[in-house]
Amino acid sequence: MLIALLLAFGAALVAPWVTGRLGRSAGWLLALLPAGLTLYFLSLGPRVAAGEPLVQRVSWVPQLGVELAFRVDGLALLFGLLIAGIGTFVAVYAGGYLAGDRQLPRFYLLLFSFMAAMLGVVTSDDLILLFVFWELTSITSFFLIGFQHESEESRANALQGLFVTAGGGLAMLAGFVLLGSMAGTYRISELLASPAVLVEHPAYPLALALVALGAFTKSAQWPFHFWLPNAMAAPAPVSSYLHSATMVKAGVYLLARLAPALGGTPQWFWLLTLVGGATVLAATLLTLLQRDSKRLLAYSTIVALGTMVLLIGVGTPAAIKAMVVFLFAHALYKAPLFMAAGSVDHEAGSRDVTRLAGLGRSMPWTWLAAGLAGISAAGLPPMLGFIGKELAYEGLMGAPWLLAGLIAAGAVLLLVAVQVAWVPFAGRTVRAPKAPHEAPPSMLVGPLALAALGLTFGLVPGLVQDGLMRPAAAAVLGAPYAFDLYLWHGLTLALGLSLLTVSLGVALAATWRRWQPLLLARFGGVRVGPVAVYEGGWRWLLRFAALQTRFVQSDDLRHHLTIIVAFTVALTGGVALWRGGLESMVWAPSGAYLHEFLYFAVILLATATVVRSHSRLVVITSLGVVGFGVAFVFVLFAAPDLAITQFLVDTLVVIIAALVLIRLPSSALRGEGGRDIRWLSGAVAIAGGALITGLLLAVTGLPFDGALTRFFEANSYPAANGRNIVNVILVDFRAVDTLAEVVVLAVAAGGVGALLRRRLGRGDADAARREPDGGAQ
Amino acid sequence: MNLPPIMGDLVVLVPVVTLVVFAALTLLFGVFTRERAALGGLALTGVIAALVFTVFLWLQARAGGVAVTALGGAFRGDALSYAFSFIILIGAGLAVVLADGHRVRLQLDQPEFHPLLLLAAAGGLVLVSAGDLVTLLLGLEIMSLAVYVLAAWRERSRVSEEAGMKYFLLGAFASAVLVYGIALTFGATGRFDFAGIAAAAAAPDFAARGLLLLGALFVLVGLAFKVAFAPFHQWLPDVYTGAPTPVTAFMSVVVKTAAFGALLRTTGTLVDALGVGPIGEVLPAVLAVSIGLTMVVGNFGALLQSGVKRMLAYSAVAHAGYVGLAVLAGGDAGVQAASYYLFTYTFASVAAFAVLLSLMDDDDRGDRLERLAGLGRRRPWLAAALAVIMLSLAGFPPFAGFIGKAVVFQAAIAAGHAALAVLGISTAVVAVVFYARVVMTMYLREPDAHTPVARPIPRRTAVVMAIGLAATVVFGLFPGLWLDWIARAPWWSAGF
Repeated sequence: MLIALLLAFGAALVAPWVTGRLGRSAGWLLALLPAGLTLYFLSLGPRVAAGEPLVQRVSWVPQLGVELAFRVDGLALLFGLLIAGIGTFVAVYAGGYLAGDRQLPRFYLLLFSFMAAMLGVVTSDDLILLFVFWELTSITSFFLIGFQHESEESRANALQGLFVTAGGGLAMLAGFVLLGSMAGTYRISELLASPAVLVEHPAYPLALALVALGAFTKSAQWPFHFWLPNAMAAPAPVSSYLHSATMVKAGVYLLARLAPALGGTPQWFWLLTLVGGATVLAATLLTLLQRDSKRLLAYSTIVALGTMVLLIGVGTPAAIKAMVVFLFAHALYKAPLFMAAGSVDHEAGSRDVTRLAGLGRSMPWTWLAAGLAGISAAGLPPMLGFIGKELAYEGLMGAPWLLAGLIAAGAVLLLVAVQVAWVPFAGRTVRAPKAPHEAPPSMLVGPLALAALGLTFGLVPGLVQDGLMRPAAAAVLGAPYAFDLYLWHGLTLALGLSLLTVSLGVALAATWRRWQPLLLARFGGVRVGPVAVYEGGWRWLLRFAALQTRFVQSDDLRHHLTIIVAFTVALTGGVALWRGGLESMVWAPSGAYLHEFLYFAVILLATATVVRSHSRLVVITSLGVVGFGVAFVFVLFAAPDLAITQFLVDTLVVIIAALVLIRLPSSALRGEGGRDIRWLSGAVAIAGGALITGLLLAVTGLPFDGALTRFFEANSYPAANGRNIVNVILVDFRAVDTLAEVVVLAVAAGGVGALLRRRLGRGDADAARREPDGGAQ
Repeated sequence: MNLPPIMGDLVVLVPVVTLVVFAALTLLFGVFTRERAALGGLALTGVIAALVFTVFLWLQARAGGVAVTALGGAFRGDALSYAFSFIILIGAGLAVVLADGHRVRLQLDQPEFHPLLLLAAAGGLVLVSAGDLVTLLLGLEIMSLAVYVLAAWRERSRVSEEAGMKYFLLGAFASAVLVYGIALTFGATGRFDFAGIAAAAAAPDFAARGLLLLGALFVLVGLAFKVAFAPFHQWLPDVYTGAPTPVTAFMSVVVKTAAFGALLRTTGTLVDALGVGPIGEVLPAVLAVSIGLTMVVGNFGALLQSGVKRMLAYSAVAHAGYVGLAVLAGGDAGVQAASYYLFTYTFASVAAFAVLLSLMDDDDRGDRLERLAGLGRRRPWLAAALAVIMLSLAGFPPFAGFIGKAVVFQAAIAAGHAALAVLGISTAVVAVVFYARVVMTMYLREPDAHTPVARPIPRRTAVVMAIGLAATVVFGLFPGLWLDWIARAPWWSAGF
C-alpha cells in the first residue's frame, strides 16, 4: 500500500513533465496510473471479502506513537476503488476538457497529488497519518478549486473552502489527540476493537464533537454547507472528481470508519441524524433556487451527503446497508453528470439550464451518458441509484419524519436530474450561446463508462454484492453482515414511497419553468443562515483583530512602557497581595536623624521637578540632583566607594544627557495626550515605585546569609593578595564576569561607533524620507 | 559552602571563544584591508568552526552521559546548551550567508557588521549555556547590545532608526526588570546559580518562597521581553520591519532561540524550586495567560497586515506562543518539543526572508503582498519554495511545521494544559488564512503593470533557500532525525 501511494505521489511529480512532452494525448497515458491502482484494489478484493484486510506498518515518528500504518478492509476498498477508478476517467476527461491550457501540467500534478492523498485518507490505519493525508487533500483541493480562475471572488471562495475545511481539520486533530489519549493508541483498528473504553470515557462527548466537526466541514454538512456550491468555480473535471467520489465523501468516510468505535450512543444518534437531516432539508430548499447546472448538482450532492450522514447516524444494519449502496450509486451517477454538464458548458457555452435546449442532436453520446446517469440520480429502475434509494427508505422505516424529508429530497433530486440530463438536450429547437458539437472521445469515455457501470450493477447487483457491498457494510457495522441486493423487491412499502417520490418529482419538474422564476425573484438575493453567519463572523474576526492590534500596538513608546510596567506591577503586585511574598517586610524607621530626612526630601523634590518641568535644562539638572542625593545617602551610610562611583556615573550621565537633549526637537520632551493619559501614566509609575519599595523592604527583612562575606574576608588576602575586597572580587574571584562585562562594553562601543560612522556627514533631509513599508490595512 | 571547582572543564567555552576570536579577526581584517568581499566568508568560517566544536562537545557529552561545568558552575555543557547552541549556530550561519549575498545593495559591508553578528551569536551561546543568573544576564547583554545596533543598521531610514531606538530603550528597561528579578531571587535564596537556587529552595527551612516567586516573576518579565511574549512583544513588529531583512532573519532565529533556551532553563529551575501548592501554581498560571495572549495577539495581528515582512513579524510572535506551550509543559518532553520547533523554524524563517529579499526593492523596501502576484508562473521554483515554507509555518503536513505543532500540542496536553492547546489550535486556524493568502497571491492572482519583476537570486541566497526548503521537507517527513537524536540523552534537567 505504501508503495502504491509512493507511486501515486511519484507519478504526480512526473506528470507535468509527461504532459509537457505529450501535450494533448497525455491524459490517456497518465490515466494508466489510476487504472493500475484500480486493478490493484480489485486484486485485493477476494482477500478483503474473505475477511482478511491488507495490513502494512512502517515506523514513522515513534516519539509521538505515530506510524505509517495502512489497512485495507471493505470500506477502504470501496473508497479506494471509487477514488482510483473515477480518477482514471477524470484524468482522461481532463485531457480533453483542458486541452491547450498551458497550465495543464500543473493540473495533473495537483490532480494526482490529490488522488494519492485521498487514497491515503481511506487506507490509513493511524489517526495522525489520516490527518496528514486529510490536510493534504485540503491543500490540493484548494489549488484545484482555485485553478484557472483569476477573479477576486473565486479566490475568496477557494480561501473560504480552505478555511472551513482546514479549520474543521484542526478541530478533528484535537479530537484525534483526545481519542489517542483516551484509548492509549492512535491505531484505528485498535480503537475499533475496544469501543467501550471510548464511549464510557468522560471526554467522549468532546472527542465526538471535535471529530464530527472535521467530518461535517469536509462533507459540507449544514451549517458548513455553503463552501461546496461556491467551490463550483473549479473546472468540470475537478468538480466531478472532488464532489462525486472523493473530497466531500471523506467526511462520510471518517464517520463510517469510526462508527464502530464511537457509534451506538444517543449522542451519536442525535448529532448525526439532526445534522444530516438539517443538511438534507436546507440543501433541498436551496436546490430549488438554482439554474446553473453545476450548482444544481452541487446542492444535490449536499442532499446526498446529508442522507449518508443521516443513515450512519441511524446505524441499524439496514441503514448501513443502504448507506453503502447509496454511496456507491451516488459516485457512479454524480461523476458522469458533472462531466456531462462540463461537456455542455465546453461545447455549447453555458451552464444555465434555462438557456439551453435541443443539444441532443449534436451531442448524442453526451446525452446518452447524462441520461443514464440522470435515471440513476432520479432513483428510477433499472439503475443502481434505484436500489440505493429503495434501501434508504427501508433503512429509515422506523423514523417517519426523516423518511418524509427523504421523500421530498428524492423528488428534488429527480428535478435536478431532469434539469441537467433532459432539459438541455431534449427538444427540436436548438438553443445555445455557441454552435454545439459533440465532445471529443476523451470527454465521452468517462461519463459513458461510469453511467454504464451504474446500469450494469443496477441490472445485476450480484456483481458487487459479495465482493464489495457486504465487506464495506461489515466494516462500518463492525460485524459481518450478510444481505442480498435485488432490483425488484416485490410490492413493498418502499416501492410505494418511490412511486410517490417520482410523481412528486415529475410534478415539480413539469411546472418548474413557471414557479422557479417567482421563487428566484423572491428569495434569490437573500443571504441568510450560515452564509451570513460566516460572513458576519469573518467581519467580526477582522474587527477584533484591528481592535486588539490597536490596543496593544501603537507607535508611542510611552504607551509601550505603560503597558509593560502596568502588566508587571499588576502581575507581581497582584500575586504579592493574593499569595503573599512580602511577609518579611519590616517598617522600622529607627533612630533617623533630621538631616537624613533632608536628603530624602531633596531627592523627592528633584524627582517631582523632573516630572513637572518643561524646560530641558531644568530636567537635566534635576536628574543630576537626584543622582547626587543618592550618592550623599551612600556617604551617610558609610559606603564611600559606592558614593564616588555614583558621583562619577551621574556626572557623566548628566553631561551626555545634556548633549543629547539639546539636539532633540523641543516637542520630544513634552508628552502628547490629554490629562487622562498623564494621570494614568502617573498612577502606573507610582504603583511601580510602591511595589519596588515593598519588595526592597521585604528583602532587607530577610536574614542575611553571610557566607559569601565571610568567604571573601577569609580568602581575599591569602588567595589573591589584595586587601580591598571589592577590587579583589572584580579582578580575581569574578574575573571572568568582569572580562565579559568588558566584552559587553566593547560591543556597545563598536556598535555606537559603527552607527555614528554611518551617519556622519549625512543630511537630515535624507533621513526624513519615510518608506511605504507594510503597515496595517 | 560547597562550591564547584573554580575552573572546571574549560573546554565547554571553546565555541564561544571561537566566535569572539573570529569577531575580532573579522573586525581587524575589515578595518585594515579593503577586501570587503571576504568578510562574510571569514565570519562564516568562524560560525562553522564553532559549530564543529559544539558538535564535537555534544558527541563527547553524549558518550560520557554527564553534564560538565566550567568557571565554578557559571557555564554548563549539557544537552540543553548543546542543542540550543547548535540551533543558534545554524541560524547564524544561514543569516551570515544571506547577508553576504545582498551585502552591497543593502550596504552591509561595513567592517563592523559581521563582527556584530558573530558577537550576538556568541552572546546567544552564553545565554543558553549559563549556569547562573549573572552569566545569563551577561550573555543577554552581549547579544542584545549587538542586536540593538544591527536593528538600526538600515541607512537613510527613519523607521529603522526609530525601531532600533525603541528596541534599545524598552530592552534596557526589560533588562533592568530582569536584574531586579535576579536580585530578588538572590535575596530569597542567597544564590545565583541554578543548582544553588534549586538546593536552597529544597531545604526544609526555606522561608522566602513568596519572595522567590516575586523574583521569578520579574525574571520572567525580563526574558518574556526577549522572546516576545505578549504583552511584551510590542517592539517586535516595528523592529522586524525596520531592520535590514538579513538582520530580521537573524533575530527571528538566533535571538529567539537563545532567549528560549534561557527561558527553558530558568522557568524549569524556578518552577521546580517553587514547588507545588498555592505559591507554586502562580508562575505556570502567569505563563499560561501570557502564552495564550501571545498566540491570540500574534495571529490576529498577522491577519491584518498587508506587508509580508510585517506579517512574518507578527507571526513570529505567534510562533513564540507555540514554543511557549512547550516551555509551559516543561520537563524533557517540553524541552525536546521546543528544540524541534525552534530547529525547524530556523530553517523555515531564514528561507522565507531569503525569498522575500529577492522580491523587495534594491533598498530593502516594499514588501506588499501584491508584489507576489503571478509569481507562480513567472518564477515557479521561487514560488514553490515560498509556498512550501508558508504551508509549513501554517502547520500543514507533511512539512516540519506540522510535526512541530504536533509535538508541542502533545507535550502541552500531556502536561495538563489541554485548554491552552485548544486555544493554540483555534488560533492556528487564523494562521492558515494569512499564510494561505501568500500562497494564493502567488498562484491565483495575475500581476498587473506595477508588479515588479523578481530580481535574479544570488547563488548564496539560493543555497540558503535550498537548505531551508530541504530541511523543512526532510525533517517533516523524518522528524525522528532530530527527535531521536535528542531523546537518546535524557539529561536535560538532570545534574543540578
